[in-house]
Amino acid sequence: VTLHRSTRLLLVSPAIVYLVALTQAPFLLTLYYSVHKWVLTSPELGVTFNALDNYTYTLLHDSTFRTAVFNLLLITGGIIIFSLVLGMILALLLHRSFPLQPLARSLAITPFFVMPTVNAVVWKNLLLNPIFGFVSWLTSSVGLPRVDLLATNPKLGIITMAVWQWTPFMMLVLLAGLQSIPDDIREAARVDGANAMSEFRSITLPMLNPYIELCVLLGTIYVLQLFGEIYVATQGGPGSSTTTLPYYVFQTISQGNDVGTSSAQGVCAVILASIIAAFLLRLLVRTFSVAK
Amino acid sequence: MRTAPGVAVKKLPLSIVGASLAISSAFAMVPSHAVAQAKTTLTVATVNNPQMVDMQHAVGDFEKQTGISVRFETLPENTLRQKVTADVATGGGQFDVATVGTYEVPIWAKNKWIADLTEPFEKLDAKAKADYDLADIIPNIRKGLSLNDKLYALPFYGESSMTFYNKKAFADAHLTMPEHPTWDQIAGFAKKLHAPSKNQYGICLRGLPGWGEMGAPLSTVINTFGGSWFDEKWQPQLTDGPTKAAIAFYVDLVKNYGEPGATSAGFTECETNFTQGKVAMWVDATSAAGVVSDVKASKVGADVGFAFSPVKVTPLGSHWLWAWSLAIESSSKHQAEAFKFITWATNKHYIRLIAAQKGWGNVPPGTRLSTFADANYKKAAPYGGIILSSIQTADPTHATLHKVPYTGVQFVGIPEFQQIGTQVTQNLAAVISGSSQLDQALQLSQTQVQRTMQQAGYYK
Repeated sequence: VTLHRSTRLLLVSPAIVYLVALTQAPFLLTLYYSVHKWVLTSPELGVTFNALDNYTYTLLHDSTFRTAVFNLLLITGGIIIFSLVLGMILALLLHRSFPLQPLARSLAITPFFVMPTVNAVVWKNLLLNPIFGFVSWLTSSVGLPRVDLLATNPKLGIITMAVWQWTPFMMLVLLAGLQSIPDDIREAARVDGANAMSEFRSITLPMLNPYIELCVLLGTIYVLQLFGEIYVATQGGPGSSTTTLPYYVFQTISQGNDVGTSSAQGVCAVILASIIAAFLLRLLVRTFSVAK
Repeated sequence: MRTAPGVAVKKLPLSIVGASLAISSAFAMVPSHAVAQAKTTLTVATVNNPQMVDMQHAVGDFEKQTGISVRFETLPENTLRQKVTADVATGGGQFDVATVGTYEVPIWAKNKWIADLTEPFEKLDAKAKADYDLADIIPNIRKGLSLNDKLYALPFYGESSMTFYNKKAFADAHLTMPEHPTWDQIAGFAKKLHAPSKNQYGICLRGLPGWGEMGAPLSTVINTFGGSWFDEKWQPQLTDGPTKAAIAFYVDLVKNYGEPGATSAGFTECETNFTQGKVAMWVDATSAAGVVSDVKASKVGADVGFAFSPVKVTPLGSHWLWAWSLAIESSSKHQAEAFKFITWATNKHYIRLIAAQKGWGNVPPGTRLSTFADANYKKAAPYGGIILSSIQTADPTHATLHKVPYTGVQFVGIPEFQQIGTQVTQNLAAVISGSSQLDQALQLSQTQVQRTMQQAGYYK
């Protein structure tokens, strides 16, 4: 029995209403607040419509916003590139069979399951602390000065923490990719006289291409949201050197209690993230269709 | 698509909607006959520090006395501030009682977010009034929790700031710490005791950005140098005069003789550095006195010396005043019960109850004169005299050498200060870490503060 079109719509409507209410209502509210001036701690000023003021300030006059966008791109790019390279190396190693390989694989995946804030606390206090930390102990025991990475090179510090966390993700995806390459292709290549390096360059890498792009796409979407590490380890500083867009939006709402401006920043952030994602997605679709 | 930047903003309205939905449905679902019999439940928003945790353990006493049950929502300081701000500002009514500090009370009172306690106190009978003994609460603390001489919150514990030092390190270097040191002396000691090659450092001062982190000790240095955040016309004073000198002094001291990793060192990190014997001095909250001198928690427990907070040209504002306090939200539907609760938790009996349960060293300190006069407390807390005298001389209405239009010692009592204090300390952290120059950072700060003040309508 085929149901009438309107009956079908009626049946799915609760789910659709629920979905729209849950995903779109907050966004519409954000849009609404982004054209208003509303500072939580100054109720006497009320909630007033101020057209595009929040946007003009954010985009044209607020230099910290530009710094935040720049930091976001730099930190995200750094994390994706480093974790991709490391993930690739680990995946290639784990693809070989050796004793206790399943155990090694599980261990290599664990960092991905550590909560970002816990990750940051461990890095900040146990590893990077210049007085008690492991890294400073290492450098000072070989006669080098103690290092305070989070002060001297905070972006690198944040990137290091996040790379530790995201490398396993890249590794997992690439490992799946490696396992999908049929052994006979490799054998054929070896019969043709390819050494390990040229086998990697001409067989593995091209066949892994879709997986690499998947890594970049998913990784970028998630890493753009990076927050816990920055909140715990540097609070966006020193100065604004690790203030990324998500952290800046948080600061505007939590320190400035400025709902209007932070909503406008949030909207800009969503647009920026959508552009990046759309660009990457197109790239991905193209590669997959070429691969077919 | 889900992205973090959007989420941070979207969460707020959603949670408001969620909270109001939850509340309305809760009312809808309770059958009317149940309401009459149901016990009142108070929801208390509180911070996760040891004294507040003790309160949660002791609350059975209150529930037995009054038949009112109490539910605690325990959060870290910053989260608590945000959550309660959102709740009171939107009239969410999630909490009946909120834990607030001396910074929030006058601002929130002005916004009518928290209830005036004058009337409920007047309604008390003579016996209950004498029993609570409002006059026993240290006057400066009461002043910090009042607006236009009306009390809006009751102090749970109070603190000022003081100097802790490692007596052994001082003796080894043949140095003596005066009871009332000056900042110049402190800088001199720090220079002599600083030995980075031995992993020993002169002094620990907070360098973690945040108005409640680096902002607090920095403001006391600005005050005692004779400076201030603003002049009488709300013009920021960051680029010249004593304020600039004070900031330069603080930044140089941390940079030259301070702890490494200063830009991520707040109260907790400095406490660790000091109790592990890595720094010779620490100027911070008096509430740390118990922990640093506790031989079980502190490696230097037996060697800790105590002195007053250092001064420069004026003692005014050289040490701060803070009180974690309990206030009743105006939107609470259980005002009377909430009042019962906050008077229970800040009462003399409560202090004795905790003393019996946890020992006199662990009572919430710094609120009542009677606590400091108690022989048992004096024995458990030899540093009590410094704390009492510091709190009694920290006047939030007179904390700067020159006249200013604001109140507060280690903060400026205006809603914009959260943002201002955080921005400026962020810029200074960049100077401490060496990625920026002081003049440049102060110029940037001055511009940012001016803009914030202009936005908020202090001037055109």
